[in-house]
Amino acid sequence: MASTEQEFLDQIEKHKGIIFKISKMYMDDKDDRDDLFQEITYQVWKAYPNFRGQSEFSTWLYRVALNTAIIFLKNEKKRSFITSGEYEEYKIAHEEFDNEKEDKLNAMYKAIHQLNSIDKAFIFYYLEDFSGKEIAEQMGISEGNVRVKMNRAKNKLKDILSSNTY
Amino acid sequence: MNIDELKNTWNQDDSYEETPEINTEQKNKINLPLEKIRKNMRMEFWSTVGIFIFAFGVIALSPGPFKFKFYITILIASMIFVTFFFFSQFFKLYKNMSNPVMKTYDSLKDLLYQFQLNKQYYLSFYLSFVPFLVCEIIIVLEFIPRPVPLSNLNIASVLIGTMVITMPLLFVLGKWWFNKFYGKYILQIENLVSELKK
Repeated sequence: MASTEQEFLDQIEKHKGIIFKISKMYMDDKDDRDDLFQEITYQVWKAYPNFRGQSEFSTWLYRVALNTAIIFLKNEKKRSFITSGEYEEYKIAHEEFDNEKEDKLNAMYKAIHQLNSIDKAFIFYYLEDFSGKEIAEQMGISEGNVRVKMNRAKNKLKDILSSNTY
Repeated sequence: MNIDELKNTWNQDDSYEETPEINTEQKNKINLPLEKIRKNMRMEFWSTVGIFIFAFGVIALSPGPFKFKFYITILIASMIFVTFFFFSQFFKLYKNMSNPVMKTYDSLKDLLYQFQLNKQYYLSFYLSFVPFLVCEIIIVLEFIPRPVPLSNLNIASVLIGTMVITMPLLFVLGKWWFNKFYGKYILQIENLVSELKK
């Protein structure tokens, strides 16, 4: 295996958790989520020769991953027997899983799924503790615009969380 | 749960062992608008090739006079030339499209710009067929033998009537076709750009 590919695979292995989280934010169905995970990996691999190390790999990866997730299309041949309310798949694989933690994760992802693609990106940066300046840099908009959109996305999420009963 | 608790919950999500296998190969499924458009364009290209082959077959087997067959063949050959030119432009455009490394807004704007350029190419491609179709109608009117020859008024009425009926029909059909196979993906990107701009 070429050293660049091995280097890339090592980087992805280190960051696969965050790619998976982005996939979970954007897709509520397991198959779609796996497809998005694969698509992000492929897009990152395609773009990898352009990574110049001017920013951290993770920051660069977040941008490519979100840019891919935002325009990703669900599988049109939908598996009709799987509903978006089916969150069994989020069960933690550990033998002794924490019910409360699992419920919270389900509630969080269920609420996030109700946001549009752009709001999801803002919420992602909020959850990853990015500053307004960093988000502006990633999204290509002004810091003022980031503040407005971030507040809007957070308010929407708040409303969803308060209206959802779990 | 309130929004302040979300960060804790987010950081607690460590279900990484569920991640699919990592590989650098492109999968067979198509989930990006650009790839969907590219696939539909490829399908359209091969269908057009099929239509041309069929048309040549029909001409070869038709009992019409040499001039009629020759003119129609020349017209179809010119249509093939135009078709190849436009499709080569489409595919060249796709090769340069989509750069997920750019800032999100720039990346979406770039993709939208390329899609709009593609739409203009497509519109030109579609319109370029109008003169060919008109010529074909004229050739058919001129060369198909009739028991009673058509008067000048008849020829003008048939030609103008055909144009009046077929042109709007082609316009509606073309619009439907474009929206079904390409437009919905462009609209998706347009909505994302306006969402970020608002």
